[in-house]
Amino acid sequence: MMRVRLNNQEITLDDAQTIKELLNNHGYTDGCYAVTLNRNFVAKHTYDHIKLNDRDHVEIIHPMQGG
Amino acid sequence: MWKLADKMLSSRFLLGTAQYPSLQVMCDAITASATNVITVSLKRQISGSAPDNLVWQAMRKLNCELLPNTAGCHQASDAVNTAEIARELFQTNWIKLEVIGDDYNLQPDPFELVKAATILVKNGFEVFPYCTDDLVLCQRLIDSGCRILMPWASPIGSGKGMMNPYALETLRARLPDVTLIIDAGIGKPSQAARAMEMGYDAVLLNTAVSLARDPVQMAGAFRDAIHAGREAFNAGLMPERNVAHPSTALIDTPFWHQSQTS
Repeated sequence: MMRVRLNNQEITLDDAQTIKELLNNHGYTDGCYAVTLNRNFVAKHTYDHIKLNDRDHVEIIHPMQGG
Repeated sequence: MWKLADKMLSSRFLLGTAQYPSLQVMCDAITASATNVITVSLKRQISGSAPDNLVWQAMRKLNCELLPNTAGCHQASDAVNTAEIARELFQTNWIKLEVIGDDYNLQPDPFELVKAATILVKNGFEVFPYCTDDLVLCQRLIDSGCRILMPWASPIGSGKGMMNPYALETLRARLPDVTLIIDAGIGKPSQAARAMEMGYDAVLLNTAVSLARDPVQMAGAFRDAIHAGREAFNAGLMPERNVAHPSTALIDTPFWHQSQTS
């Protein structure tokens, strides 16, 4: 069992998951977003390969208006 | 038409997408501006589940080139990380590089800016650095590989226009082969026109339109001002003179010098 943060929510995972599995389980199956892991950018093609560790922090980044 | 980086554009007006009273007003203003380039940004999601993407869908429908920014970054490392995220998210290698050194006047940190620009150019980005009007800083950015510079007129959102026209004229004169876009501090269409009359290649602004009483009408006003400024520059402005020169030829006008000759 491990605890990770998804955005600002703490989540308990029964077993190790990849980033992709975490995203799928929380409704991020499509749409325009990017991911950071512990504040570092994670390229989309690696979501399947990166397994989460205890206390990892995954953040979803969206487009927004800007000047 | 003119060339910005690798794109041919019809407009020299780059417009931001922030601080409009509504999404619809934003879309209408951008359409009225006839801009080809809009700036966008990134945000972290707060809630745990996937949100709707209304803003993104609206921006995509505008059919403009996207120029993502690194707003909120104070360190080169954060700006580089943000740029990588933006490249994947927006599918563009264009990045408006903002690395802020002061939270009150939002002026760039020149040292972190050059550091970030150097890394990003090496990593294949087309960097649009938001910089001050300092000639040496601009030269260092060019040395790091930037082919576009975006010097401020005055602090972001201040609407003060050009704080230092001499410095901006100097940049234009000393860097003739670099694409120069005035970014930040423009408040009135006349200020944008003045920048274009100086020979700047384009103007980027946001607050001057979004906080106007009528953003759609103001977007049109800036569109026309930027166009007029560029036309004036191309037409060749008359030289400024320190003494008066009568427009009407005075020789043989009815009363010219008669009181002295009689």
